[in-house]
Amino acid sequence: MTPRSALLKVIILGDSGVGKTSLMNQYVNKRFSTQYKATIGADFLTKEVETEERPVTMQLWDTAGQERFQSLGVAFYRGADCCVLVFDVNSSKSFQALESWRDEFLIQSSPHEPEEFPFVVLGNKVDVDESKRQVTQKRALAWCQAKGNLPYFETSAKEAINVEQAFQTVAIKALQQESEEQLFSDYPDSFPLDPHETQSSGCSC
Amino acid sequence: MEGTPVSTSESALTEAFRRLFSSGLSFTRIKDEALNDRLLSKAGSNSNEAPSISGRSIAWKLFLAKHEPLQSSSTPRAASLLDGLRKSRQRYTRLLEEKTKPPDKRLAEPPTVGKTVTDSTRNVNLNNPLSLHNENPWSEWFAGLEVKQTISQDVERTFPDMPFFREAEIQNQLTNILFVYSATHSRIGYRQGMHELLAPLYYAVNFDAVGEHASVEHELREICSRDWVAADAWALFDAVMDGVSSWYEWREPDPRLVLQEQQGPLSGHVNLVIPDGRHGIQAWVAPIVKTCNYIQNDLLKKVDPNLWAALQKAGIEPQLYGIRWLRLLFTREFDMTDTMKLWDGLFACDPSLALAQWVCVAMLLRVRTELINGDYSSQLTSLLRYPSPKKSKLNDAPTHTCLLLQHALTLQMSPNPSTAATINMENRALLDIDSNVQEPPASPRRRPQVSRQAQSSFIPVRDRDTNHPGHSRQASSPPLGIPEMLARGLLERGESLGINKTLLSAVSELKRNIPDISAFVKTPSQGSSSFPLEDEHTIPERPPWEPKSRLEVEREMEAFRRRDKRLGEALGWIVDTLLQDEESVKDVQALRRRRGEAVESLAYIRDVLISDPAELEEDRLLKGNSGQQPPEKVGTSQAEEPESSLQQRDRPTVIEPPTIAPIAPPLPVSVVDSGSGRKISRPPPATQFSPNVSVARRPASGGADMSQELAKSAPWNRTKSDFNRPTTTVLPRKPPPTSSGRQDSKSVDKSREFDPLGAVEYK
Repeated sequence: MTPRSALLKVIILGDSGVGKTSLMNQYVNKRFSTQYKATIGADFLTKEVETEERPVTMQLWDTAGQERFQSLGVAFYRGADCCVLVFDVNSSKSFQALESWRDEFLIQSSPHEPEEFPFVVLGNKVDVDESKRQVTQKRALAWCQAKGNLPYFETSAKEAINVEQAFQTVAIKALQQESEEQLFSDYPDSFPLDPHETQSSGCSC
Repeated sequence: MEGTPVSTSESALTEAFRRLFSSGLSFTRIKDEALNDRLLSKAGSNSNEAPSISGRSIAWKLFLAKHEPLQSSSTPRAASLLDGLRKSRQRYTRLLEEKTKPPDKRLAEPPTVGKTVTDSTRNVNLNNPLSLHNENPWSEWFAGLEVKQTISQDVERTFPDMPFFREAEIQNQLTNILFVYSATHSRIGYRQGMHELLAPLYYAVNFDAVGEHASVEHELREICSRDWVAADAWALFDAVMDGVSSWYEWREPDPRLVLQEQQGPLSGHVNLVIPDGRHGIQAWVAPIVKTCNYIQNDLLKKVDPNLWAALQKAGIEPQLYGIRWLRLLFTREFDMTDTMKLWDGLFACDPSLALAQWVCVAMLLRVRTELINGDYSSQLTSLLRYPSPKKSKLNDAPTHTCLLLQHALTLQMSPNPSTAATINMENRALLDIDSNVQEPPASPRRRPQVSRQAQSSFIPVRDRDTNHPGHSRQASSPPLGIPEMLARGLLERGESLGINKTLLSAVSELKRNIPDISAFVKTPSQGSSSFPLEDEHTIPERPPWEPKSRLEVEREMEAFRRRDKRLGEALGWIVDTLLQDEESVKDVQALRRRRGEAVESLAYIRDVLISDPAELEEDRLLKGNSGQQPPEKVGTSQAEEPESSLQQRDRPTVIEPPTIAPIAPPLPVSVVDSGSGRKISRPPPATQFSPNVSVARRPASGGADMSQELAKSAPWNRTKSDFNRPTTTVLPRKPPPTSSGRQDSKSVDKSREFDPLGAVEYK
């Protein structure tokens, strides 16, 4: 594989107000503002990243927390290389919603190997006083474990805690996913999903 | 403020109020003014900081009034507006009470929460917070609390840069309004974005609010009562949502509800099976998605196929930008001040906000260059971070929001590529002030590196012209823009040869800007010597990979050049005719008739340029004199003028023209019919206007005096208007029937419609 610059599509999902826009802007622009408006529909930013393999252009898609999947269109989710699930550690509800965000994403994007599709989980707003915390690290880690060892980061967009590290992981995961997806690119979209079969046909490269 | 005798804002408010209700302006006229950003005086906003201006909320209340559909010709009455407001205020009060009070407060004898279990009174099994019964009002109440929380989360981040919206009381009111809306529209509820639609409405209402003791007229005081800001903002919001709410729909409506609502066979929704979907889901397509698709894949495709193709190729899904644009009605794309101006026009045009879709198309056209040249990422950047337009250097240039509205209206009226081409040129000239406006006007010479749109110093606004032949309307037009001024400057010299040159370059300019034609017409540089065209036969070397054979291309070019020349000659004749001074002609009637023919011919030229027919119909081009008038004669005096149609039977007294090949006089055409004379298929009416009509009767427009009116519609001004920009077209008006535009003559005054020149006179 030639080391060309890859274009990676990353989609950020999570409940309204958990800090998706803030995280993205902290990562891309190294800024935090209390003045973000509610995202309507979707928004995007790009970021050039150097990974060990090759330079990568990350296309980060911020979504509205209240947006329903069907309005952004299937194509929006289809080409995703990685999905970032964000919750607010001070809101149990936003954590519980991760399950359905993940499920819905898998339905919409229909990746070839749903079990293997890279998610990265971010528990945001850890800068807020510990007394207000509703989701413990242990609880979050347990869920990530159960979903196939998803990487988990506790972040603060406001204090720039762990943001860089989290998105670096996102980039690496997305890059892996992209190379794997290329194996399937010869097949039509409606390629029947069978993990065992795809594995046997995919390992020869 | 209330204590002072007359504050600045109060006087501005009074002024706005009087302008709306006591200046005798018809409703149509008011809308017109609103569209052109001329309805309200800016004097009221003492600082330029405030995004709103005094009186805006009154105008909005008027435009969005649900209670009494106003007749377009009538003048609005403050009393009826007030009636409606009183009703909606009552309604809001009732709803607020009903939806925001906890169930126990609504009971006559409210049980306290703690005692409910043991209380054996009435329906307490039902009505207590812990009851699991479906009809327990408390479950609704608790659900409402959650909704309120969602709402206030968004309200708190509504226009974070405006201190006004940081006030707790304002936030509380906004939350209440949104909550009442969500409670009364359970299918949609509250969706993100509504908060940002409400905010400007609330701001405008609050901006105009006056207290009880304000020294303003009684009616005005009640219309703008400070006590009813929230209720009025709710009423406005509710009205706006009538047009917007479908774009917020997010779930499939309950089929039972649909049946109840008698919506027919699922009118707004489509059930489709995704053919390759592994899950075989029946997908419900949200209306917002359908609207976005319609905008990009129908409307845009129709007016600018190239731009559409560029978006299509990159895979831009329209909802990526459309959701935000439409749901928020462009509050994120423009700042608050501009948004409000845009809303003035949107509301004025059509409370159902149908124009918003065309605003989207016009916005796409505005960033056309970026979209066509860019890749996926830069395209998305242009769309999702919509560039704020450059400030026009012209003082009298229309604001970019006005321009956008007018573009949207023009597109709505005549959705075709030439409209889009015109708009592109206007955008270039008016918003993107660059070197091309400083070009010497006499030689709009092409430079190889400049993009097509950048070329045009002269904007042949053909579509505009043909779609709005009612040039009497020009009377209320805003001041001229650069292209017009240049064009007029040229024309006013009265140098006929120059005029022909101008027109010719305009025509060739036009041709180049019609996408279809321009694809293969590579007109060699047509500078100031472009007329006559004989010396322009050099054809640039074709590379060997040229798909057409050289001979073919040359032949094609030859044909085009011949046609250009014919069109040029015809235009020369038209200009001559139109330039003739009425006072120096003996037979005024005949002159007027000729002018009518000239306009006919002009319309035909337009049709030729649009539809690119294989052959020119000579008789339609030059009317009576069949083009025998060589361009050299253009400057000749009155007596030598070709009297093209003067041999017509009913005007025996006129001078015979030097006609060589007279054509058979076509059938007489009725005057009323003349509007449709623009259709290509129709044989040319030689007698356009009845000779009987003789007294000028201009449609009253703004009370300008008669002679001014006439001067504005005089031929030289009319010729100028060929180079007009859309701002001079007074919108909105129903377009006259054209070959390409929509036909809706319902509200078009026939007498205006067929008399673009003001050449015809009426009794």
